Amino acid sequence: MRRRCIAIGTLAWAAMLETARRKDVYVVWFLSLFMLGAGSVFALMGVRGLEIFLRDLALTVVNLLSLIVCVWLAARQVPEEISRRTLFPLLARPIRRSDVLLGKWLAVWVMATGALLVLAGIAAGELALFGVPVPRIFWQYLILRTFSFAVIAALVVALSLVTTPAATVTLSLLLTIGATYFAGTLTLVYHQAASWTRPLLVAVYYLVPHLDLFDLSKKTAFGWPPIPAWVLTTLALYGAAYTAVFLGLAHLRFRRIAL
Amino acid sequence: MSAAIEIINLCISYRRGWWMPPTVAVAGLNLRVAPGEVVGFIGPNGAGKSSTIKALMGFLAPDAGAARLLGREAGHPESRRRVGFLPEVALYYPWLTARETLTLYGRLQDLPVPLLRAQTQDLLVRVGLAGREDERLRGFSKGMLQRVGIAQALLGNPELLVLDEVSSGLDPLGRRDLREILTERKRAGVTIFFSSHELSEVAQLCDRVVLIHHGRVAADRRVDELRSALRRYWVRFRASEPPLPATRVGEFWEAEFGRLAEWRQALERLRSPLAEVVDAGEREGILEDYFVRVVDPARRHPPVDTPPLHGA
Repeated sequence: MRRRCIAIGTLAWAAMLETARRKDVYVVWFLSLFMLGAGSVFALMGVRGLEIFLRDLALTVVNLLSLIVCVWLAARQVPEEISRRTLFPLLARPIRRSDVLLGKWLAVWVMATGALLVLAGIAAGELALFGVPVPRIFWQYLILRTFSFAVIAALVVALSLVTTPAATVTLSLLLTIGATYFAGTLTLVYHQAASWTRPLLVAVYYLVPHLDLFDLSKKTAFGWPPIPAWVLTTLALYGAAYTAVFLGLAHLRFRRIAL
Repeated sequence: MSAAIEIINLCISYRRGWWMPPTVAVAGLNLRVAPGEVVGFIGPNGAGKSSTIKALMGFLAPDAGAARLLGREAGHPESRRRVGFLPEVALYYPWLTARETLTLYGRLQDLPVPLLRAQTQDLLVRVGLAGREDERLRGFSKGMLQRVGIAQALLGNPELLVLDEVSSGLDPLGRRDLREILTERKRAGVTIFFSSHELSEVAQLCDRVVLIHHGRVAADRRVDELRSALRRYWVRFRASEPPLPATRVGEFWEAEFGRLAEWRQALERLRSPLAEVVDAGEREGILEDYFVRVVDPARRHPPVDTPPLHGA
């Protein structure tokens, strides 16, 4: 177990070092500059009395940009290893293919969380400059967003093993945005749907990860009180289960790929 | 004693689409490499060398048969713990330095940090990368990347080295360094199994040569035995009419023999007033002739005394 942890940590370290060196992280700095620029425009326009709107806008931007970073980083990790043939010297070591997957997933998760913290930090700083208070639930928003990145990174890594990187990015964005914004609406559709389609809708409802559950941005915008710890714990377990499922599917595919 | 490498009836095929018939790469290959042996694995392009090596390293699952490394089933992570591997195409992380690259592989091998540091430095110096340890690999030439590859394969002092196209991209100095390194390891009792198209190198380094063709072992010979079998004896003489089958070379005739006895008989026959021996001698046979003879018997080649094949 110790050996496997070292291997996974080492692989994640290499992936992060490479991402940093190839200047992929510059995209986060550009996005940050974009947010600062947008904030300056609002400052010029005057924002008194628009606290909720500003918080909502800032968190929507943070959600979207951090999601793009997560998907974009995850989509190319394993396919690039295969196409560059850098997998051979890796797999010639006493490690398993699943260690490679876990190392890559861990690297993406950490980097996406890092990007989220940078972007959210800028958003919080700008809100503070405008005199807009950041409610306590903001910390829970960050924690749950981090959990959702674990699920999304696993989903994207799995998809990247069955399709091309460009298709992976497109599909992943569609699926994650769909799962975040439309999965919850299935209950509404259920009541309007024909009776024979209802079991199908129920199946879809329970199969699709409800990423909307991990999104506290609206509650943060409206200044809700923090959610109870047991809800947070349950969501952590829910996220861990989906992460395990997606990583398991990725492993089933990856172990069969002839290099 | 268990074999360092054991391949039993290995079959590998590739499917290029469900509607296409599979392409057979390896068709029932059997091979055994004893501990401490240095075996050259040669064959024409597409013979199945790389596929066999990939199956050995667990990169692909064979359709049938089995492969074992140091007594363990190939594909099991522990089978690779005491194995150093150099892939056919040496590609490493371009954004890491040579030192970081070796550190990465050493950590994956679970080498203790102080040992890894010492070995990294020693190996980078040994493969001729002293002073360039902290440069990123994106600026390295193909030959330098191959040197990094050789260094990573030697990390942890493996008991078995599996090297695919080992001298690819190396300049003459690099090849000499490589020969020295492999000779050192050979003396230390390391088993070396390598594929190469550089047949002179194979002849210099190996105890045994395994030639595969169409996914099967076409020849399996000890190098010293092969060398003596390929040795040629020749005589150059002057005569108006040659008293034995010979080829005209300028003003002389030349005859070549595969056996010493035949050569001696020819020299006796040439001791006559009608012929004058100008020169005579023996020369080492080259592995390339043997390779061509086995792989492409229809091709024209100098008459050689082809040793009987076994293992086919």
